[in-house]
Order: sequence, then structure tokens, then C-alpha cells
Amino acid sequence: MEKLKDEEIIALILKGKTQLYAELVLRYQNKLFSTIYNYTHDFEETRDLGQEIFIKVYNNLHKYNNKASFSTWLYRIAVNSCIDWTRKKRLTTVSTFETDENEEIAILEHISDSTFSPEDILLKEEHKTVLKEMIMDLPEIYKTAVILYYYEDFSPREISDILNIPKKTIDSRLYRAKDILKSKIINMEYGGGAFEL
Amino acid sequence: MNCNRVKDSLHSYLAGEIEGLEKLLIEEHLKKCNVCKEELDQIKTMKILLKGCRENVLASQSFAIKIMANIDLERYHISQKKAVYNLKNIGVSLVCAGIMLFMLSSNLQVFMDSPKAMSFIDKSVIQISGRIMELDGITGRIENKLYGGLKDEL
Repeated sequence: MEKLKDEEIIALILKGKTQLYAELVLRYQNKLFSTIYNYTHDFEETRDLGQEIFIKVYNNLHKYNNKASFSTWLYRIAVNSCIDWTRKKRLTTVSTFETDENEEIAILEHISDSTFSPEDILLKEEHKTVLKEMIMDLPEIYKTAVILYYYEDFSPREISDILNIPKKTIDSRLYRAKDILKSKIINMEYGGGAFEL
Repeated sequence: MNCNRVKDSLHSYLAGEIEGLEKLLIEEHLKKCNVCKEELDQIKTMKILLKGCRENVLASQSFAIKIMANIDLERYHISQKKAVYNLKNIGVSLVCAGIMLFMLSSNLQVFMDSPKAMSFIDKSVIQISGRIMELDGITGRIENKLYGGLKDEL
């Protein structure tokens, strides 16, 4: 049997074949879990948020209007839930990560030593932690754009559809976010300069 | 194309979202401008660096089952009450259509019974019969001419 498109499944669900929703969950659960985890860095929160998002999506399926693809619509709901989560979380904690200064220096040494050709960039686990912390500490508007562009491979046009923001704004945010990350990495170096991004 | 415009478009360019003339202009600019070329390289490097930080998390095998257990499967079902309501609506529509048909046919009957209708029908019949007689006269003349002609020849 030919695989049904997301939109066809939705049409059938709205006609009463609600069991088909399981197919949509199976299609997107892993991609969505990864996105949520990269936002929260907490397995329990990822599971709870994932459940909350899929239930919310089901309860609002009748509002889906085919203007955007289902995945874009799903991500719109998911990203909004993640942003809400971050806002609530920020009220209680300052930073998700605990890293010491030595780790920050180590990542720079490691990166500076490399020739920086794409093939040579292999990050150690502790270096990844420092970079993740940098992303987590970005202002919300940049963090979301960075996660969707760099982690999830969404294009600026798709991010603009997900966030319902003009594409030009997304381009500017991505450019600004890259500069913030770059200066953070450089500032972490003793006097700056050795890390060439 | 100036540097600011190119820099703002580099993420879209790398994502393959820019086409046609704009793409050509950016590529021409990148050949000449080292600053923008460096910006593009930085984005490429950042992409590889950050991609390496991305965590792949899989949902548990029972996740979809849990979701299905927690949603209202009747939410998009047409309820019996709604079905009866729909049937009621169809019934009302049928009755309305019947009433309209009855009114139309009785109006036609009233028209037929009226003296105006009778005189209209009479006039039409007289006109048609007059026309038939006219035609009959024409055919009669043609026949006479034809037979006459034949007689002459014989």
C-alpha cells in the first residue's frame, strides 16, 4: 500500500479514523524528541514535553489548514512549547550546565590546534558541553534560530514559517547569533585571536 | 551587491534557498570580497561544530501507544446525537422542498383556470391554424402549377 501523505492522514482522522494519529506520532517522534532534548538537555522534560506537544497537536488538528506543511505546523507548536518551557525554567535556574574554566580553555586549545578544515573538527565530549552551554545562554530569539538552523537543518525560509516571522528577520538573527557565538569563543581565549572561526 | 546584503543572505545561500540572479550576484561578490568569503567559511565551520553538539534522542517504543491512550479518540467521531440532528435537518429540507413544489404546481393550476390564460390559449390556437391555412394555400398553388405544367407537356 502506498504511504499516505501527512495531510491525507489528517483528513482521515478528521473524518473519524482517529487511530491513524499513531502513524503521525511514529513519523515525527524521534525528530521531535531530539529537538526538544537539544532545547532542554533533560530526558524527563523531553518525554513530558513531547507528550504534551503531541496531545496538543491532536486536539488542534481541526485548526490545521494545509497552508504550511504538517511538519512546519507541528514544529510551530513544538517550538512554542519549548520557548514557554525555557521561560518558566529561567525563573528558577540560571544555567543548565555546570562547566569549569579549565574545560573552556581546553576546547579552545583543541580547536586552535586543528587546521580547522571540516574533516579535522572532531570535538571531545567535554568540548561539546562548553559549546552547548554557549548556545543555551544565547538570548531566546537567537537560541531558537540556532537550534533550528544548525541542529535541525531547517532553512531560514522554513524557520520563518515555523516562527511566523519574516525571513529577513531570521537571516539577521542567524547572522547576529553567529557573531555572538564567535565572540564568546574568542573571549574565552586568554587574549583572543588564536581561535580562528 | 554590497557586503551587508550578502552577509545577511549567507545562511539562506548555504541552505540552497537563493536562486537565479541573486545567487549569481552573491557568487560574483564572494569571488571578489574576502571579508564575505570569510563570513561564509565561518558559517560552514559553525555548522560542523554545532552539528557535532546535536544530541540524537529516540522516543521509547511505547511512546506512540502512550499518546494514543491519552487522547480522546472520539474527538473527531460523528456522535449519534449529531447524526440524528443531521437526519432531522435532511427531513426538514425535504419537507421544505415538497411545500415549494406544491406551491409551484398550484400556481400553475390557478393560471390555467384563469380567463386570461384561456384567451391567451385561444389566440395562440387561432394564430397557428391561420398559419397552417396559409401554408396549405401555398402548397395548393405549387401543385396546380406542377400539374398544369405536366398537362402542357403531355
